[in-house]
Amino acid sequence: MQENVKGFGQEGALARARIVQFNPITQLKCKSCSAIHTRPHKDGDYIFNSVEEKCPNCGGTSHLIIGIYVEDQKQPKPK
Amino acid sequence: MGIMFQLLWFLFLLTFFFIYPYFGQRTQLAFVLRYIEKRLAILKQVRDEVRDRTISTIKTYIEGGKDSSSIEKELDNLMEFFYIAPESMDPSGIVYKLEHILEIGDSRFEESVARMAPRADVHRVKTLTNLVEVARALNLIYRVVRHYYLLGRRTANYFLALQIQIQLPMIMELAESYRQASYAFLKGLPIGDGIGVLSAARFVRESKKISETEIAKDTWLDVVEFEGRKVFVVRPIGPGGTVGRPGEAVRKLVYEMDTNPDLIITIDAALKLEGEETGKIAEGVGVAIGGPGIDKFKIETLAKEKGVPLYAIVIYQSIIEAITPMRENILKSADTVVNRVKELIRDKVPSNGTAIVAGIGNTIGVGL
Repeated sequence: MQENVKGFGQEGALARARIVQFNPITQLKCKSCSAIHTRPHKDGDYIFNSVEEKCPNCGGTSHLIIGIYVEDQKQPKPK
Repeated sequence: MGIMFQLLWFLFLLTFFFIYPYFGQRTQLAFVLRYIEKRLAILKQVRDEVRDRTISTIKTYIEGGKDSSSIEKELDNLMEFFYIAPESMDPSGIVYKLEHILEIGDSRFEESVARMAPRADVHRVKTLTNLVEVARALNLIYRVVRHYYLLGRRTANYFLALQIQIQLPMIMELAESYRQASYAFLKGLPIGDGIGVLSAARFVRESKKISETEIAKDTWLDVVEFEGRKVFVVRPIGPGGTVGRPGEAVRKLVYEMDTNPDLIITIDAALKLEGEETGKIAEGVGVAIGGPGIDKFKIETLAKEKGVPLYAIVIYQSIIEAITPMRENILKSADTVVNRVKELIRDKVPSNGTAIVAGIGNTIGVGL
């Protein structure tokens, strides 16, 4: 069965299938001064996880992850 | 000369009228089949890409020295896995039969993934299970489209091919959503569908917590106090990818823990209509829970029996946004949702009354 459709227009199709790149952003809240700042997402980040990172505002070391998101982007049109 | 021309013209018209209906349709069929072929090739590519991505992710959780070919074989078996819906000739009790079948399927998936990736923790196993389900869904889409394509070609049936051509733009969009979803499940990122869970979690964090416990499989219960009212907040346990059992949790609260709620609020993502803004919030009545309908049925049944008002808050998004990494607009809506929940409780629940708030959706990337 698979052989029946193999090869038909595949080369062109492969070129058209676009890769969507996500650049997830992690939103952190400093536990000392409540300042909110963002940085690129790291593996293991999840919302409501506490992480040890230096606060650029007060120098505090403990943060709570309050959001992870990707910026709104235009979706490719369905083919 | 004139008669010859007229004769030729007559023969041409005769040929055209009798032969065109047949060859015209053959020509149209060829165009339609070509259209389907191109998209079928893309579907195959997307399916293979997600399959390879799933295998390479699972391989990072195998123990050293273990043969990885067994993983490919196991994954291929899971990609062909099917559910047989219960018989509906006598529909009485069909919801519980369906629940039973789906639970068996879920356990089978989770056990297989845990066996394939022994180094993955419990949350990671759930997320990897989601990834395998995405690969399975893409395989199913590819197989169905290929079936209609080959059937249309073999029987030279224009209308059979046309039916699948009409639906292909939506099918391609769905396949693209699954492809992007695999990225979220690979990285353990929150998805748009998780906004209901996130909103419920934020509500808990802004209230005074009384107690907490696991009330049903993969489902967490927080009991909080909000302006003199007792609020039971139900949501799936994260950060692994699961939707929990909100219906079972609410049933236990009402029947086994003798909670007499004055109000039940469900918060969930909902599919927006074309042209609508992502992250728009709307309020209504009923139970906002998608999926096969088991949880919705349970909550509706108990609410009718006990006379509890059902309110729902939904956050609009497209199918792509619902299963791919959470967009900024959707994340921003969480605070507004929490405020709407608070307003509803103040408005509908008397002081020292009780409410149930259920955060619905996939909790991937959202912890407790």
